[in-house]
Amino acid sequence: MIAFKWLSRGAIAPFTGFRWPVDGSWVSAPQSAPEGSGVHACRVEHLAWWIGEELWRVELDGPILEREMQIEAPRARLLGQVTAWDPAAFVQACLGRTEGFAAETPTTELADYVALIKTVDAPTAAFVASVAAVAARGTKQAFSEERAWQARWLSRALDLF
Amino acid sequence: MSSRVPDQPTCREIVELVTDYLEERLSLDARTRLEQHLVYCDWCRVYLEQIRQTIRVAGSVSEESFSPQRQEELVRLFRDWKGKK
Amino acid sequence: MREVTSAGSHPGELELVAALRRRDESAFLALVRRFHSSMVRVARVFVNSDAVADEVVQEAWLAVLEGIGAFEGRASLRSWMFSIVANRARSRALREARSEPFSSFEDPEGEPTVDPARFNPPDHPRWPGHWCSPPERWADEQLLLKETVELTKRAIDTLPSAQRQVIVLRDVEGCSSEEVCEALAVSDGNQRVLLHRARAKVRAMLEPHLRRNA
Repeated sequence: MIAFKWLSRGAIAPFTGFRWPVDGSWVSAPQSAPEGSGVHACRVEHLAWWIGEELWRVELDGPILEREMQIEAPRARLLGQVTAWDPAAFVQACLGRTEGFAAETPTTELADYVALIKTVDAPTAAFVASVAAVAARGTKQAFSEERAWQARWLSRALDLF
Repeated sequence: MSSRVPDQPTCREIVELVTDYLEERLSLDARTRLEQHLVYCDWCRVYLEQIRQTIRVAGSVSEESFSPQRQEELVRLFRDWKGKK
Repeated sequence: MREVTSAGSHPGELELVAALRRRDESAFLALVRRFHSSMVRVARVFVNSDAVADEVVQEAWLAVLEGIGAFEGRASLRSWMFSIVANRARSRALREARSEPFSSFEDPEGEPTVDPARFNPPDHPRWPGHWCSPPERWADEQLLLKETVELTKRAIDTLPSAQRQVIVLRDVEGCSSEEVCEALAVSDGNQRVLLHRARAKVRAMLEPHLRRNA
């Protein structure tokens, strides 16, 4: 199946430092590794949780394990980079959302989040906007609901399926 | 844990989990939450990297304490042992 | 970076063992050159002086020679030799100890390994528990400097003995966690706690020296 994967610059896995082959070679996770050591990827709805520097389309092979924030497969390969990914545009979108929250709920806290978002990178902006959503809405679910909004934004902006 | 950030560890909690993380002893759930935190927290990424760097530097502490005198002593030890039975 | 030893001897080792059984002196010398310094480091985490560590390792070499006939290759050669050294060093340390049981937990368990003052307090209005005095990135080039390695060695030397034992065996010598648990007769969980505290302390001791200049 086709899915998405966030990587650091140079197609490098952010937590393991593994350098993904950009020529589309298949990569298998080690067999004897503990649970959760397969290749991690995102369905569209998971995209906002794992924002990194580069977004790649990937092909997954083997039984897909569904997890709360991601999916996992024993084998995968990179298909191509989503070059339309524009972190600055994304940050602007998060800023717009947070300004909206601040307008709904004009507290110093929300004002602080607005100020903060102007200075941070894309993954942090996603986080701050989600925190702001909780502050504005007053519910724990607002956090993951905001991530869902961010995923929909990414899907439209990047023309993902 | 922050009330604004449901179910996610704080930096203070993260730094106490790094060894279990590197040893692959965190539950899948805990590992996901730790990695989630690292996505948006540059400082904890730096801390984790510094633990990795500390491990690497420790691995290069390897001065050799093997003198010619020591080698002679051990050769004698070997020949004595060889000479028995 | 030390390689982690896998369980079981590999073919090169079995060759060496066979040669040693044939009383081949050059095989013994090859073994000595490869392992002696590590064995001294291992002994040194248990006993109080370099001189005693040297004695322990001499005895250990004899034990290796005397035991080589019975060595089956189920564990790696290095693993087997390290446990001989560790056992002898521990016995020696016990005989010479006055009060301190060397494998005791010197730090109260559960104490934070990073100064709590570096984080926002729980009642912080925005970001409770987040860094307020965050770590600054270290340049990789600085880590390669001889001074940094020296500093690391000294930092390890100042650790409480149980933590020193674990970090030397795990990170300096590259032993596996199983090997360490056996050598120190501690559980995997205990070994991990000690390793955690040791690494955090060494990192903290390196930090002021590796801060990038303003």
